[in-house]
Amino acid sequence: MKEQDIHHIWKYLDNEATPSERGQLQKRATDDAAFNAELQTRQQLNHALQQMETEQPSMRFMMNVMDRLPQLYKKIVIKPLVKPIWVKGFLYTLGALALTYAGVVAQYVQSAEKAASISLPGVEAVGNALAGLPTQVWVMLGVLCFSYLFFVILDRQLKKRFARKS
Amino acid sequence: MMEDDIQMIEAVLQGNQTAFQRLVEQYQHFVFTIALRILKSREEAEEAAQDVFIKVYKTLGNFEKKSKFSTWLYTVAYRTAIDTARKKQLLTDSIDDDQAFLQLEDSKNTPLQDVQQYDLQRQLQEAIQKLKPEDAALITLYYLNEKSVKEITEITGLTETNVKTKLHRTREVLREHLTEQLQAEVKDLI
Repeated sequence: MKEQDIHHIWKYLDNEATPSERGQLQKRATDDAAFNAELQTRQQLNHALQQMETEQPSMRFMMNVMDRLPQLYKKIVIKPLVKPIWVKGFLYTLGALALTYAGVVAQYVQSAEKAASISLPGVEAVGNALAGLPTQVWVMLGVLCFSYLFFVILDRQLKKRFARKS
Repeated sequence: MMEDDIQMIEAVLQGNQTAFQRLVEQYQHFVFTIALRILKSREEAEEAAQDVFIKVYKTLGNFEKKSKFSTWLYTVAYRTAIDTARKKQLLTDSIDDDQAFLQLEDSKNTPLQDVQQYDLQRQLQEAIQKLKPEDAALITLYYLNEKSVKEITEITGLTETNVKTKLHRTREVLREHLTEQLQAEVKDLI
């Protein structure tokens, strides 16, 4: 059997042959028994290949795929630009400064008639609101806040050092 | 079918995992079969097929909808399985290289008709298992997935002539193998 004949047979079976080629091949198959046998063989193989069925994956296949999907959405670990301790420190400092400021304002209001001439922003409103409290209370609160801040930082530094040693 | 796929893809891209589950359900058998034909082991094929769907899920946004979704999916499946096979340096006992299979002389009988009595389908599966991974995938894509030669060129990256030649050659190898099987079985019976 010539290679070209085999090629023509497959072309015919793949429906790629022209009408005239199909006619020629069918005529030859009728006239030539050996050629017909070759055609039949390939026709059956072609049919068997077309009848092939897909393979079945395991029952858990789809569940396994779906189980793996959430892992694609792992939370991204983002480190804060400013550590929480510094944020806390900033807030404590702000609080301490506010208290000190309030203390200073209260002192001015209490001490002299000069209070009216003070040009600090919001002094009058804050001063009037806090005028009832003695200056020493405000100063003490400010000192307490600064001390607290100092101890927080000291505590952190000691923890760091202790952790490093252990 | 293609419209359905597009709708499901759009749903997946909007975060609908159930739509993706439907895509997996629809294509799992085809993807698994391609992987199995290439890797020859059910466990490895199952793992590779899972990887295919995960890859597809991750890169679904890159699917340009120029070709069919199935063509794109099978491209991922083909390449993933081929890469796995290459990495594991799968030693395939290829019947293509085996000189033991003799060419039958022309005869008036139709050997395949006789082979059918000995479970043609089973023998065909065995024969395909022995093919080179690329050739087995080609036969699977052409017959099982009913892909045109043009689509196969897209999936495999081979030229049209190359696909046609390989297809022709592989089918002849299968025919020879089945004929040889028949001869052996007839000999045993005698």
